[in-house]
Amino acid sequence: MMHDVQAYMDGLKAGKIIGFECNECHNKWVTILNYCPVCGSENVKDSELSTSGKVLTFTIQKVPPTQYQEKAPYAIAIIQLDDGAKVQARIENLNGILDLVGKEVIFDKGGEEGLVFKIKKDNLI
Amino acid sequence: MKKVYVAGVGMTNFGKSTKLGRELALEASILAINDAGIKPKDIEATYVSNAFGIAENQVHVGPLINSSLGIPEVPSLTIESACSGSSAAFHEAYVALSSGIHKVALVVGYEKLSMNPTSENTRYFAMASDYWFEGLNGVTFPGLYALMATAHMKKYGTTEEMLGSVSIKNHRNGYYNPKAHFRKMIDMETYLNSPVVAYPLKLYDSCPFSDGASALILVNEDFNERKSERVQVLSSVRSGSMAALQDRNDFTGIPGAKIAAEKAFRNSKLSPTDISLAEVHDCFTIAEIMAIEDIGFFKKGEGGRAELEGITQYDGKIPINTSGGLKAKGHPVSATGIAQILEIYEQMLYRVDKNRQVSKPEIGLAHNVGATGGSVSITILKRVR
Repeated sequence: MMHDVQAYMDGLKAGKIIGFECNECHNKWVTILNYCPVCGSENVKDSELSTSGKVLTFTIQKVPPTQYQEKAPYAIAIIQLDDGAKVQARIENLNGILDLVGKEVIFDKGGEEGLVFKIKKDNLI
Repeated sequence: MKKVYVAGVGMTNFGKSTKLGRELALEASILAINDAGIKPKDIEATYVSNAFGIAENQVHVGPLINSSLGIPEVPSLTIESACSGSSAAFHEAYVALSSGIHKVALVVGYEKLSMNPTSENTRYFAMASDYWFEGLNGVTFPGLYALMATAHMKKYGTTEEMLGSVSIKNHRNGYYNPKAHFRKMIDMETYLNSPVVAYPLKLYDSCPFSDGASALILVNEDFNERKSERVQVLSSVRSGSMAALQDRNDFTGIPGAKIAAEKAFRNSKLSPTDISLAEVHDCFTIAEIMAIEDIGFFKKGEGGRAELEGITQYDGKIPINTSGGLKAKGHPVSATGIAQILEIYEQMLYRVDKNRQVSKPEIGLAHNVGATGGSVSITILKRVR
């Protein structure tokens, strides 16, 4: 039995990103899959994903949804984790940085307010 | 397969309306019925598209429209496919008519959301993402397209001015469209000075939330009562992409759009150079640039330059969004797909303002995207004499 959204959320609260790995082509994913979208294999298993990676692309969310008003402006980034999986996360410690592409980031927290990463200390320039 | 034709079209004004969504849908339907010169009794199936009817405490609108038209026994179906709902409804009608199951269909799309504050509508729109892995993190739809814009700008050197040229062109075309939501021209300075919504996208990169409805009558070759001009549907293709943006290999285009366009060209034995005009899904300026590359009008990475050079103006080599696009004509989510096909029909019948009339509108293409590309529709239409 593979994990569901609730188990993913519980994982985030415990500091883990639970995703999927294809046993055939070894691609990794964070969204809910039962078959591998690359090779079509049904041999997909739960996998704990890396908690650090690099920003591939980002936006600074100046006009946020109502429930995130107090956090704005923050960045939303697509991050390639060290094991190859890609996740989307919010980044709050912007420190005036205008270009986040290539910045090294690590897991910060997660739960009801989504997945949050932070820019590594030595990348905060 | 039976040949299928658009036989008449109708749309309400796009913008803010005090009418109910069902009233807008009925108004557009009657305009299309009259334009086609048919009677409601000729209709054998009704395809309705709507996404957010629940905000008006009203779903299951097909039977309401059919009852108002005096055809309660006609089957109806309501289709949601985010911003590509009405092209999806169009496709289902096309399938039924080309198979010969029905001869005449009414296809209508509508949306009514202006009674809600923008923040509430932004929340509604975020529901079309993979919520737990995208929306929940605090990203909005402008934010999702901004992720693609950053990637495109980084990889291909696409500039703010290139994005701005899309907005300026579409506002210009909308100025000459009496049914458009925004009927004012803007210049580069206004564009560049508009506030940032989701960096790098600004207010003038973004389409508005609009109320409105659009409808058309689709007939197949067995419906012989020729009372109006007809435009032939050469191809109607739908495809999709991984629902969550982060699950794709590339963020500078929409995989499903490329797949659908290639298939539509293959089906109709045409190529991008055969197209005289196209309506593409410019929910944000970057989306138009990606669309004209995904369809194959321009090589990957060259769409922005083409916009800047004016190749996509109504009198340019490949006119794009002569209606004003989603940017200026407006974007009543589930009315957009039909409104795109309507513009091509009107162009082919030389019924639009001369300041945006394409000189030889022989073959047109409509490109309609749901969310960030989870759903995509491509329709190719041909003028018949």
